[in-house]
Amino acid sequence: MNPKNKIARLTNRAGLYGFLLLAFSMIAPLQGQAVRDFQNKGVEAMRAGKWGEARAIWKKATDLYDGRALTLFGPKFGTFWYNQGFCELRLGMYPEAMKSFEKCYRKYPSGKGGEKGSINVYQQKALLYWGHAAKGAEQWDVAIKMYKKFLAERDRVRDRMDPGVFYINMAICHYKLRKIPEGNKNLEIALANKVRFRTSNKQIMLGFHALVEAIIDKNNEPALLDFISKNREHIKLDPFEAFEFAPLFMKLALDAKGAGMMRSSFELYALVPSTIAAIDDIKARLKMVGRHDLLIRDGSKLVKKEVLLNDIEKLEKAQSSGELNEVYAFLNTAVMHEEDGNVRGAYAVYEQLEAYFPKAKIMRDKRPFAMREKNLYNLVRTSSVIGEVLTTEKYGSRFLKLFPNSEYAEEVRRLTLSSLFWEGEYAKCIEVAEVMVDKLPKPSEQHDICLFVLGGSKHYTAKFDEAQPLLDEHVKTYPKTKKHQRQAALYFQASNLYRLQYWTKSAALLDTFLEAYPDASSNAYLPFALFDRANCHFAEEEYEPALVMLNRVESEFLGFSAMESLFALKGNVLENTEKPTEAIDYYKKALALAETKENDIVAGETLLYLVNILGQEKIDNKPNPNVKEAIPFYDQFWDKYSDSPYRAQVAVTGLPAMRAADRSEEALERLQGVIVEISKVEGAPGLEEAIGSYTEAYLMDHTEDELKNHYYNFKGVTITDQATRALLRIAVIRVFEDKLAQATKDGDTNTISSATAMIKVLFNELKTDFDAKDLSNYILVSVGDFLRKTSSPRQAISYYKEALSRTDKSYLFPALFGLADVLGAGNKSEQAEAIKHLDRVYADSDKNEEKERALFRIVTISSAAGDYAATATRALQYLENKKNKKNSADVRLMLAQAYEASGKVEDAIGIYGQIWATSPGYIRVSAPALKSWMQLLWTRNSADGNGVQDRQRVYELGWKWVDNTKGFTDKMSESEAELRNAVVALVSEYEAHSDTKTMAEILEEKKN
Amino acid sequence: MTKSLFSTLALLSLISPLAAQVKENVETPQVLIMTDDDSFKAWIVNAAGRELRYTETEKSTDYVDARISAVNVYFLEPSAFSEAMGLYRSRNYKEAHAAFKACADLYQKFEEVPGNYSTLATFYQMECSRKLEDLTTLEAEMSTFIADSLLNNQHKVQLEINKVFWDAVRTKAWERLIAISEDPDWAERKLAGSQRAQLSYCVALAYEGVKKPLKALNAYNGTFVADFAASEVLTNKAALACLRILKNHEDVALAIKLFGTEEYSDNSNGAFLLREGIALVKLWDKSLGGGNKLPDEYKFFLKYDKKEG
Repeated sequence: MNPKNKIARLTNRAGLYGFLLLAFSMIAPLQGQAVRDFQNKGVEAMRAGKWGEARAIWKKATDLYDGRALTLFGPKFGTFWYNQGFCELRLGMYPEAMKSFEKCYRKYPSGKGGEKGSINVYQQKALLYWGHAAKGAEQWDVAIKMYKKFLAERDRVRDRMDPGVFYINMAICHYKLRKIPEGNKNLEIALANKVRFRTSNKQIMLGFHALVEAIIDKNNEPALLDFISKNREHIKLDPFEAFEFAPLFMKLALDAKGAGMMRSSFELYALVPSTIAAIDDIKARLKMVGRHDLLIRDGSKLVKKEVLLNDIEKLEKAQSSGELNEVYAFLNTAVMHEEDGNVRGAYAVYEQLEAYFPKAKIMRDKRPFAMREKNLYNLVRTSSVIGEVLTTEKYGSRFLKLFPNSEYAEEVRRLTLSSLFWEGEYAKCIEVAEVMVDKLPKPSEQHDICLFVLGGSKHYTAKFDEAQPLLDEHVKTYPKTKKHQRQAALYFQASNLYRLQYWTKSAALLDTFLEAYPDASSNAYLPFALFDRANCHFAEEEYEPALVMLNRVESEFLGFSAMESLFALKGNVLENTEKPTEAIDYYKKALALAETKENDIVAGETLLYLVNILGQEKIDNKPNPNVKEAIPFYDQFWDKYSDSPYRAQVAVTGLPAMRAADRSEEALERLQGVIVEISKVEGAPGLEEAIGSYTEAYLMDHTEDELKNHYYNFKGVTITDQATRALLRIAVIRVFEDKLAQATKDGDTNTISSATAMIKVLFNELKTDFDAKDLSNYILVSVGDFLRKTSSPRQAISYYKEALSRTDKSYLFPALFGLADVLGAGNKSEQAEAIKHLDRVYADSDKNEEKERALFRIVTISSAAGDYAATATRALQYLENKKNKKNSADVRLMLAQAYEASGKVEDAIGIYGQIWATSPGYIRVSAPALKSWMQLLWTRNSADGNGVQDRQRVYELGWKWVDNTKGFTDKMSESEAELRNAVVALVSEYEAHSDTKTMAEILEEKKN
Repeated sequence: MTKSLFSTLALLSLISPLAAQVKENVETPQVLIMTDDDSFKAWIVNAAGRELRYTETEKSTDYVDARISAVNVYFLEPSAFSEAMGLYRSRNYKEAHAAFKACADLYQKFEEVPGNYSTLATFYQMECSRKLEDLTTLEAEMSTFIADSLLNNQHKVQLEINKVFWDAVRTKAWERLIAISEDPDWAERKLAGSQRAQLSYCVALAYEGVKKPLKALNAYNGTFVADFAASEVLTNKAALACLRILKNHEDVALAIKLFGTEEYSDNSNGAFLLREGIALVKLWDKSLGGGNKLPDEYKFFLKYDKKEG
């Protein structure tokens, strides 16, 4: 025999086995050509797999002969029913098949009727197939009954069966009836005898499927886990076989998840083979199979080349299209991790999906749906949540490149910090980075980026005070950051200080920056740094170097983006260096450029400068003859830029020009409008100044009484605008206060009397018309602040107290400061109360500036109250904090005075000496310190190491101080001059004393 | 889908037994031999050099010699291998290791024939060593292993992973391991889930070795999602490593200290990591623990679960 035929017989008998034997068994005993023909044709059709044709033949035979068959042919005719049933089974006609097998079993029992000794060889086997048919018809209990009956009645030699199939079918029927233990018993028999029964893996999977379905339905997860644990070796298949069942595992996993059986769900996912592993495994099998096309039964494995080729085609197609099984498992894994709070697990999933399955698709509405956009978005999102800034950056940029119009694009931009930053989305950067920055390890590359972006964004959004510590930290912590980031951080740090008006510090850093990065080709910030440096110079009145910087930018950086601002600043510098014509030219250039670039802010600002410089009321104390030249710019401002933030200033600055042009009423009306407008915004800056200017202008053509009436009925300010109305009343009081002061100076008793009376009336009206309880904290504090600076400061107390009595704690610290200020000038108990209020500020404020101010005022009040011990203690407390610099000289003076007053002379001498030596030009402090120091040493009169007596020493040093400060006397205020004169007098007194050698003598000796 | 699948399988269940049972001949196992013209059943007797010897009937002494390169041989899976694989799939790696070794020895004479069960058994023997993280044994086994007869590319990739990654773990060459993992050759290579799990695990160990705990956390998470916790040994170890890192993280310690006070901030890094620890404890029972009990030392995380009150 040809070996090829041999192997064919070995491997491909499955389809025929069931009926060939019975066909042969029919030939001899049956009589009658017609029946024989039915039999031959029926068998032939079955051999050819023509089940429909075969069934028709068998049915025709049974229809014709069944009535007499038992008599004519005996039990053997039962095989016709058996064959008919077999065909019906193959055709899925389960109820019909059941009836056919029933006929075979019941009507044609062996040994009955017909030919003597005739038997129906398939009588018992029909029970088995009856069971199969019942199973197909989903009559599970009937199937079980038939299987059991078959097992009980069968002839073990003749009625062969596939035991693996038998036990698995029994298991399935039990599972379908939800009899899980009975099902398990049968399935485990099949599994335990897998090798002996030669049970195929496909059959095992059939049973496993039914088991899982039953367990999910009964929600009995432990049973499933127990089964999997015990039988993993049977249900874990080689990838080439498992691939076929992947959809089943996926479905079961999803069902398990739906039933809340998460562990089972993952056990089932674990059975899904990796696509790449399945492909490689199939390729390996194909190598083994070679040219062999027929089915190979290798233990429990069924291997057929055609199936392998089909599978690999499907897998490679899936791999190429991205419609992969593992995608579902991945996505469910991600959801589970994130739902439980392990965002990092979800992140890991999305990272792998992007790296290995960028083409991932899932079925949605029966169509493949590409998932990359959503997966990549989720990767960006989850990486952001766990603080993987670099990953967010990397994939965020990729996302925006691939899906610029995605519904997630906006969100991704928000999450992608650097991209956001360099795209100028600073508000979004702040939103993201603020949440993230504290979660990141420090130092780390992620923290580096996050800190940089946060600091830079705060800088660009004008949150300069918040930006500074962040930028300082970045510069300090990350000197080795990326070069472009380092350069930017250094610039931001320096520029931010300029915005905070720390001119000197900013200037120093800008100089360092300009020295480190002088090359414009590698420093995009160079013109900005030069411009900022020019601003610092300007602020410190260093006009020449400012001009040098500005000229450099103007000539070297023609396309400088802030050129209009630069022209405006150059105009400021020129104006301050008494070059008004050139200044006006630059303001005009700035205006033209700003208008071209539609930079309304700078245009408005420049118009203000032009109105200001051209519309000055006086030049060199003489009326400005060209004041009206400001009018066109004034008009242009209100015509085009009336929304400008500079409108209050332009309204005020333009008054002289408008008055000269006989347009006072219009100008006042406009200013009135501005006052009304800004009064609507609580806390808006400039309101008081605008009212002040308006008052001044109004009084040029009106009397104080007219002003009072005008302000009491100010157009546009309604009865509900309490704040503005109160400020207007205060402005009136201020006018009468000024009038009183002038009258006092002039000795005009009548006016003194009338002004005093009016002020009293006005205060009473203020109290009557404005119930403090109706005023906001802001206006209460504003009224209080005004009142405490008048001749009746105690009027302020009730306003501050009202503000402090409320649960609304806005303006708390200004109220405390104001109240303390008034009480600090009162009696002992009031001073103690003032200190209590200030201590509250010191304890509760989180701003050092406020803490410093509170402590300073405590020292001042303690000193004024003569409480030297407290003065010394609180002064030392102030001086201990190195950040407290603003009033340190004054505090030292009070400390020294406290020491002196309490007899600690040497301590006092030490402090006084420090003060005048370190702040000689600060006359208000250095003069009294020097004076006291000289007096104490004069009294002590010890000799120093060189034998020089104190008296000689203080005289010489006092003389030198007087000599050094004489050049500034014209710049000193009256009080400063008085203080200096006191030292001058003391030096003269000591010079006249016999214990001193005069400086004239000393200088003469030196000459010789 | 259930219905149609069920119906398909139902038909399969009607297939009768393929062949009468054949008693396994261990010495001369039954194979299928495919030549250019033919395919036939044979009993393989020996293989040496480039030749293999077989008979066409079981008890025959009529030997036929053929060049290995001229034929395809399909080895039917021997019971020794099936049993060893049963142990392996039951996660009994120690016994499986011995069983695979016995199988490899039994069929050693065929090791030059592609697809033979001696080479394949040795491969799985090494897989057992890897799963047991007995890296010294693995290294010794790798050093004598000849992979030429392996047919499955996945197995060859696994050998590369053994050589590169697991050997780096054995020698604690952490910096090198991290550098290799970032090399595009590996970083962009398409690997099966179980292999990705291994790479992530090795990289996580390396990051822990160089004191980068957050990087290690990321990589450990990569381990247990790569094949949906199917690599149960690595999943278990990775999850415990995550919990260990989180427990020892200074920010977590601070968050625990502040928990319940006004200073505790949900936005702090410590609170975030604490929540991650809580999540992993919950996921332990759902997938990461693989049925094992969570060590007591990590149960404390649940005390800080706000959701549970």
